[in-house]
Amino acid sequence: MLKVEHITKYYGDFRAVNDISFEIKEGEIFGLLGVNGAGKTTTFRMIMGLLDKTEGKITLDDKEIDYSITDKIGFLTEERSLLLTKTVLEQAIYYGVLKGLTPEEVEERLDKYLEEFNISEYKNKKIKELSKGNQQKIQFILSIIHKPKLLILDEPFSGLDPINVELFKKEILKLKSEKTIIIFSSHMMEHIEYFCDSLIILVNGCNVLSGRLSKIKKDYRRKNIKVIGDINKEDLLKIKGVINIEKNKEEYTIKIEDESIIHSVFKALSKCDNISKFVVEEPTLNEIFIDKVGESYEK
Amino acid sequence: MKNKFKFLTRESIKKKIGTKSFKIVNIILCIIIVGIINLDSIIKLFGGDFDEPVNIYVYDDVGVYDDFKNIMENGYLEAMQKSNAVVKKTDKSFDELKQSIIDEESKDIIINFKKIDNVTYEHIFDVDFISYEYVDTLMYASIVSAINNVKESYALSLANISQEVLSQISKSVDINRVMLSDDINENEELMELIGGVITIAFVVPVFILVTLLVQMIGAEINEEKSTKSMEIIISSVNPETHFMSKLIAANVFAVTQGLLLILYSLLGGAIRLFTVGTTSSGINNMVGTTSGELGQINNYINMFIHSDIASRLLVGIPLFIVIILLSFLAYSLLIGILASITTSMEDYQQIQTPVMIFLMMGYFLAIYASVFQGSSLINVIAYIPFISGILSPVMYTLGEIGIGGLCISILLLIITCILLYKYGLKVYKVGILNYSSSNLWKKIFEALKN
Repeated sequence: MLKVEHITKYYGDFRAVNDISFEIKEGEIFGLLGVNGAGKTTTFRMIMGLLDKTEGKITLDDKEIDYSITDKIGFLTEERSLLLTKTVLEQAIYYGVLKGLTPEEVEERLDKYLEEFNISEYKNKKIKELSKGNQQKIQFILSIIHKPKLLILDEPFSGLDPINVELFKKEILKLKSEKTIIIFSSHMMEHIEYFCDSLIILVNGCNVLSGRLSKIKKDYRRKNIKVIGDINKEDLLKIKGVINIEKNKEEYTIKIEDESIIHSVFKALSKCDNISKFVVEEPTLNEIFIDKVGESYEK
Repeated sequence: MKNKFKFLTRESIKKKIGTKSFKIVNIILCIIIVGIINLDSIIKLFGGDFDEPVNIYVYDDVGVYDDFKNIMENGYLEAMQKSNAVVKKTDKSFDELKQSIIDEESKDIIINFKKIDNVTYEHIFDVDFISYEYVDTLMYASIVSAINNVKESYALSLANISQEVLSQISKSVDINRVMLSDDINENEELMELIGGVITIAFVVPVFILVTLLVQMIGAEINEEKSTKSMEIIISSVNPETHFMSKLIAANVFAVTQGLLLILYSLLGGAIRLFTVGTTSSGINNMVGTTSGELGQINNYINMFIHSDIASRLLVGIPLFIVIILLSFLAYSLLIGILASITTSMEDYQQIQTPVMIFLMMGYFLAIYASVFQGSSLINVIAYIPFISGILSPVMYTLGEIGIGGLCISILLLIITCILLYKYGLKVYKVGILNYSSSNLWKKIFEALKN
């Protein structure tokens, strides 16, 4: 289990991370969210032992993270972190040996992964000769080649086409099933919703929202009512608790403050013609994110 | 961690030495160095006017041919050898010979000693000096001198002075040279020559090696930073291990390159020895002198071998090696720290400028050290780390500082390296993961405070 307890990081007078805590169990995927400059990279670096914490404690399986256990951590950076003049094999050996593998072990595992990702022919090609997507595949392979206990994925789908995104998703879920602890960071909220069991949202280094995703959504009082039909927008907006109405093609999304408004909306819609859809949905993570982050910015 | 350190160091060395460019550059360096040492042989190999012997044809109505030939061959050997000249008589008539020189545009010379009617001690004979075009200055001056010598000798014989007396008159005066200063340097001339030789044979390679070292470390750290692979590397090994691996690899490279330069010089010398039979012209070429000064160079070499400089160098060289290695280390520590805080190669190019200025100072002061012997300023600067690597060995060789001075330089370099390592590592840890140039100095001072 990864335990992050009350960590704070100051750069001089600047507070980059302020008292954040979370726990991730084996086989769980945890979302670390925040706008640019929110403190995600600083948090990653503290988890990996790259940065000293000003306060707090980080343990992996009850052991404080230091260079004696960093071999158990895999990291996929947001930007490409490959040495462009090396071949794929050379690069794999370089990073693999630094993670405690022998060159032979690296090559054996690399062959397996290259085959899995359909890029076996690039084994002896230079990194700079590969496309952006294939470089990302190599980077992903190198972050998991040593079978890490804790895997940090920062924007893992960057530069990938939909087919490769599916390939990555499959691999991430496989790692989850193999009990890997995964920290997932992305600005694509649908990916977070797809993978994460729990999450934390950071704003200016502070925790503005955290917990299990299902509970966050449940606790978030606002709901969306999806409607198809000829509705009277003005009448609906007069109902107390209706925040706004958006139209996307044929479908209307009526945003309401809480569940108690549903009945009033339903009553108003029953007077309208051709209503073919009325569905009450949980809000998307994207909405929650924008709402919470925006709120914190205003503060 | 130990294995990772070895691996990182090996990879870094492989990246510097195992590349095609290293091999190509070294092949080129080998060719250039061997070529410079054997430059005269190479020039001769392609031939040219300098290969043609110069015949000095003598027409003699006076009877001084033997005298002239003797004086030229014994007194002006250097000029004769340089121009590959021979003094001889010819069966050809004066006009025929002149015509043949014109036709062949030859470098041959005609010396025509002509009898005159009213001989006086002042005016004994006339001489025509005939050549197709201007003769080499040294050769012309030598022939004119020889003719004057012939005149003197002929005049003395006219005055009924016997050969025995003549040879006694010609004997050089014994001069007892006395210098009153107590700290006079007996090897003043030698010092100046050695200054020139050292500048080329020692200072220039050290300067080049430090420059390479500075470039290598900067480029490698910058590459890892700019590709963000530093994040992955530092998440696997601590910054200290990473830093040390870079330093050791760069120093191994510098030492290897230095040894290769020595090897190429030895190879050049061996080829010279095999083809020409002497290595001294190699030095001759290096200091930019002509083969005519070969005798002088050989004299200097003999003076050097028998001087106290040679024995002092024997003691000094092990300390030179220590100073050079420590200087390499100090430069690599400093440049590694500076490279870690830069965010691009352009930044690095700018930040390395002060380091290069230190190096240049050492270089120029080493050149001036033999000219301004006894300079207090140069003497003090010779102990300053970063400059001492180049300057103190030169100062020691010139007799300006002693073994004690070298030891002080070593001590100061060790202290510098320890301080750079202790405080530099703190900066390095912060610098390598810093991608923004804003508040950089603030971050550095914060790192130093922690």
